[in-house]
Amino acid sequence: MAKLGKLKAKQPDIAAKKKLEEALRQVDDDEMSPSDSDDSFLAGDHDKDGGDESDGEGSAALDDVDQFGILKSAGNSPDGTDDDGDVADHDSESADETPSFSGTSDIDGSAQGITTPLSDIESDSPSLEENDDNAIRSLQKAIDDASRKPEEQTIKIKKRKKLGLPTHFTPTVDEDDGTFVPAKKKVTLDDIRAHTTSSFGTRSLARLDELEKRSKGKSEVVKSRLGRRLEARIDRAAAYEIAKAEVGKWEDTVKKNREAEHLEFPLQHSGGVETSDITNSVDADAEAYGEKLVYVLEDREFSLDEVLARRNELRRMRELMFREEMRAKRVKKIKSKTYRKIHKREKERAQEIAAQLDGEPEGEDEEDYDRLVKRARERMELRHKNTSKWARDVKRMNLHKDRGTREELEEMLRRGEDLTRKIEGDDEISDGDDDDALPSVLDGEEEAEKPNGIMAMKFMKEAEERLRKQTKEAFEELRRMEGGHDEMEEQVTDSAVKIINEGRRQYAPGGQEAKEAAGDAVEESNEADFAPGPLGRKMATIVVENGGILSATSIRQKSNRTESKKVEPKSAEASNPWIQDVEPGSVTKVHSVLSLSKDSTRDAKAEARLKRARKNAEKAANAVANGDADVKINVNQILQVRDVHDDGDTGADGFADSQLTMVYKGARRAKPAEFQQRELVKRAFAGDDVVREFEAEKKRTIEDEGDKEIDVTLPGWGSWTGKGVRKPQKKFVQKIEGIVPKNRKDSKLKNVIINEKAAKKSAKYTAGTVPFPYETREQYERSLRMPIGKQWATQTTVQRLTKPKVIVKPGAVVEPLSAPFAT
Amino acid sequence: MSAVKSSEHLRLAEAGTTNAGTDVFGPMYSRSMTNKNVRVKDRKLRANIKRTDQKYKDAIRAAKSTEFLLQEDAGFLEAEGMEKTYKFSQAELKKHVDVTTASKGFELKLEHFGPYEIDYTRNGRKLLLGGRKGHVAAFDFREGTLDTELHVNETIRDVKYLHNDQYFAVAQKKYVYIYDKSGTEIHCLKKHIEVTNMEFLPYHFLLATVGNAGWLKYQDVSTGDQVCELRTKMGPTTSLAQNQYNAIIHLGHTNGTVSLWAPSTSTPLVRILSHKGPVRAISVDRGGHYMATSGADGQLKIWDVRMYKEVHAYYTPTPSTALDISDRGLLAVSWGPHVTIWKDALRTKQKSPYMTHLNPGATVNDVRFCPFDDLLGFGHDEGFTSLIVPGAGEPNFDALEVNPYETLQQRREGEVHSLLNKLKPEMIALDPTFIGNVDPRAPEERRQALVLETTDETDKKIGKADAKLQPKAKMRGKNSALRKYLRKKSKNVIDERKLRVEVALEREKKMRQDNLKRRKGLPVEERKLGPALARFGK
Repeated sequence: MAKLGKLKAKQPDIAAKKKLEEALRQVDDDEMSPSDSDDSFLAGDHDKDGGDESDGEGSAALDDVDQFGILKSAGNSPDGTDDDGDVADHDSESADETPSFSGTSDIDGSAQGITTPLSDIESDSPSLEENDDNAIRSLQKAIDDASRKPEEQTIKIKKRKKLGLPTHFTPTVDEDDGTFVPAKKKVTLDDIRAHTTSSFGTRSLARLDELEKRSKGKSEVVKSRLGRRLEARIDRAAAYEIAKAEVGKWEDTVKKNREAEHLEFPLQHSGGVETSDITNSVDADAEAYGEKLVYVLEDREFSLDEVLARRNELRRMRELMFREEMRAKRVKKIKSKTYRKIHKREKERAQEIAAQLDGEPEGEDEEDYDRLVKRARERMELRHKNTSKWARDVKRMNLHKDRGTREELEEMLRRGEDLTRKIEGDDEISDGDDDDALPSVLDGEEEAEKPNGIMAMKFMKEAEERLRKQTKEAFEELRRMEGGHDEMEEQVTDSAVKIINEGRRQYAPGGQEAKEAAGDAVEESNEADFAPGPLGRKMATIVVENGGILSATSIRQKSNRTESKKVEPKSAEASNPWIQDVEPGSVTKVHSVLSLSKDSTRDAKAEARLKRARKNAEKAANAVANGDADVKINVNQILQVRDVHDDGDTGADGFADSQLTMVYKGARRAKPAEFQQRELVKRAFAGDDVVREFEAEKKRTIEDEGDKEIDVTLPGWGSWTGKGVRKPQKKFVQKIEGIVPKNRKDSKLKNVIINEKAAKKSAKYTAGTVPFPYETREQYERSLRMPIGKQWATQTTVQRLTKPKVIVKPGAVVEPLSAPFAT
Repeated sequence: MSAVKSSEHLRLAEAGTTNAGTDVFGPMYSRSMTNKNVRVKDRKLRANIKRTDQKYKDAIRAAKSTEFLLQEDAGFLEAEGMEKTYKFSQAELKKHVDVTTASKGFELKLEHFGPYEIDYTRNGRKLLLGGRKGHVAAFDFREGTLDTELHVNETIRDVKYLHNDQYFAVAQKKYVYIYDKSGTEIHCLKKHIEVTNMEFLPYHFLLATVGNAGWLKYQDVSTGDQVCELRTKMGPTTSLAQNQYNAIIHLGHTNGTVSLWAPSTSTPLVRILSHKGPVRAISVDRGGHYMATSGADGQLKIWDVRMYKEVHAYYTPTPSTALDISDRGLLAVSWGPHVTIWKDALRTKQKSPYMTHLNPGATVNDVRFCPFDDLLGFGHDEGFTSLIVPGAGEPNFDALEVNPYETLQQRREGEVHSLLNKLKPEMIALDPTFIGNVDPRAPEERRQALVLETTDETDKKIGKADAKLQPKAKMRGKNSALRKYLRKKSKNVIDERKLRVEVALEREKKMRQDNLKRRKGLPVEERKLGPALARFGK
């Protein structure tokens, strides 16, 4: 129907407009005396407006409605006079209704409200007065609406403008103004008031008055509007904030879903949020509590709203608890020291505040004391020496050659010295009182001494520095002499253990000091014996040896105990190789032993050395015995050859004897032992040059795969002959980097050559770079470590390892996420 | 069944390093868990890595937990009191074992065509015998049914089953032949000349052969292509073995070295000086940890093939001729007429053997443990003998991998599956887990390598395509009257006509070239003047 109306609208529209103009003119003629020019202007204006309207009609559905109304009235007027009354009724009804509609919903409505009665004017000429009244009423209404909802309307206009539709409101009002008011005179409320008789009109006028009053009372100065862009920006910002808050509701859910290993749609629980166990339990508790509450509430006959509110409150609490828990978890993981420090301070402050709030003010002097202690500690810890990072950097970068930096450095050192002096001074305060002034005086001196004139020159400074150092050293010496005596006394009174623990003690060979020290140590030996662990025991032993108190036999016992048991005496000479050397009081040997006790690795080394020596001796002996020094095989160890004839008595344990042979008892040799032996040795050396060949091969390979230099000098290039021609200095050498012999895999394997050239054809099975999510090669290759196939893993494992990230149940509808806890 | 497999393969793929973190599951299941406490900056990645680690841990645990599905247990001979296990003879053993097992310990007297080379199928079902003097027999020794028996009428140096019992290769006097189960000769590999030793790589379908000429050749038996020929440059090869863990081929040479080869490199990956005489026999254990070599110098050495270090050395009274390591780590050594079996001889040095056997009067030529059974077969001068060796075979098998009880259908399925899962020859490397890792080479170097690879391949492909598909461009004969005249004319006589003919020929040639250029769309040097005036042009 609407469509039909639209189609029809085009033609009768023009006629309707013409009639509208006529009606307007009539009204003008009746009430006012408009000038022709105005009339024409108005008519033109309206025409234009109407044209716009007709353009806009196609698009706006609402327009169809009012257009239809117009159409109806216009169409009716020429042919049917019988329906006039009905039409009038209908129109008046619509006139009554439309303003209210227009005010709230659309401007078109208001426009219609205004236009329809006008069209009526023409159709119902006899009741012109009444219609007039109607028209005025509607106008009133329109003005009222305009004043009441200015924002709404402007917004709507804006909207329409954006859509490219004609705006009705302002022109209509203007136009209406034009229709009722002479062109040169502005219509005022008073004019209208004069014409209003109906109660509705007076009421609305009264309201207008009120509005006017209010506006007058409020502000005279209306602020100019901000720029449109600015306003829009502010609007957008506000809108963004709101939208952000709204979207933020999903944040947790989205995060969880993103982090989830697998997502199975439809999601089991709304939002897919998995809470931790604690929250779950809390959840359960809250739920239970809620249920109880509901029961109680039911008993008490609470309203549903209250119950809901209560439940929401519970939910909120739970949510807060969850967040707090998450936060605590996060904070707990932070390892930053700075963060901890800052937070500690914050906590302290908070505690203080809490304490103050609790009404327990701390004693002021106590606080002061604390502060002082703190400050002092800080000062103590401050290192005004050249150990700070900056100072070190300066040293490292050789920046101290720069004068400014050097001065700064010196200043820093001086300050450090000052501070130490101060501290020392403070120590002395306990003795003397008036020393207090000394540091400050010194400070003053220092200040005065600040380089000026000749004193600022380097050599002077250095000299001064030297002098100061000497003085200081002298002072230290003196101090040490005093203090050292005291220390000695103290230590004597203390337990002997303390001396042993004192640190490294030097036992220099010979000399009076060593003997004295030994004498001291003997006194302590009793205590030292009780000292736990082998070290203590060793120390004790050594001390005793050093003192020369025990006999050689006892030394042997002790040393045996201290030495590891691996060293087993083989020959009489080598049974305990350092016994014969250790004589009571011989300091040199003891020294070495001491070093053993100090460092266990040395112990091992010495042992190894001894072993080696013994082995060599044995080898030599063997070689001599065999009369064949060239044989490198240890015949004793390898050839446990039995004579064929005497194996009857070896019994069942034949294998235990021949440790290194594959021969077992049943495998008897047919040949005499000597012959066998020689043959074996011979056989072993059959291809002796094989070793040499292999070594040569290895050498060649190393050279092949190592760095290479290729002489790319062109033959004859620059090789001039003749008298006075020098040989060309420059050689054109191309260097190809290979593998350094030291870095070869086989560098420590004697009989092995490992090819260092990578398998060329395997490039396509390797990755060129580390794939994206991984940062390092190790991480990536670690992820490849495990085979996933069913050949290598159990069925369940394979399924778990190959489960897709997102699974959608066939036919299931994947719904958008719902906001958690949205009520 | 897959559970069994998993455990086995976990062990196979076990990396050299173990970590304390995973040792709770035993080294058998652990993977190298290096840089455990690695610091990862990215939170997401960190979570990811952590999760993956957990998954792996779970996987290991699951694999470990499937152990209880392995119902069979391996047992060894145990001696009581004064008894020694190596004193038990086969006759005594047979008295104490069940009838079926006892029936597996048998002897075949084949005096005329020995000494015999032997081979078992991968599932231990079938046995293949190859006598030096030309006798070949393939049969199911449990059932006692004969697949085929033939006489090739020439020397046989080695026999080898291919991926299943359907095909076997025989290295004969000059070439290698492939026969099917019924004894029909299907292929003659004419490029494999005078082969002495053969190995078959089941996951790559490669037959590796090496002979007196010292060329190692890989033949893809599924496609028939020869993958590569590698020149060892070390003279005749005396022994050959494969490392089942990484499919590397170990060759023993006359100069006492053992070299390790992969088809992708033309030089040996590793060379080890193992002996001072020729290397007589090599064997590598299933996990790829240990290698046993025996040399003519009478030594038997155990090597750690991951570190390339000698673990320990034994002496054999006479040089050992054959070695084999069983699935459960028993080492069989043959020397002269003796066969000695050693238990735990790889890790620790043993003082006495586990079992011994004397085969009087016949030198042992080849020893092999039967897979999935407690049997050791050895071929000798006078036939074949099967020994019962308790604890030699893997008691649990993975039917999806190798099934001793497979049906016809299963065999066919398995064949298709293994063909689909066939690995490329280039994937063979010392560390088989390199696939997918980051290339340690510099990007530029890598790029060059890639380019080389692709061009090589495309060249090959194009070459092949050219040879097969492209029609031969049939050229018109290049003979002409002028040429004919020149040819007939004696060379040393120069007369006017000859000169003219030469010029004309030259012109013809030029024209031909120009035409060719024009056809190819290349710019042709146009003569400004016509032929008549051209002579004045210059």
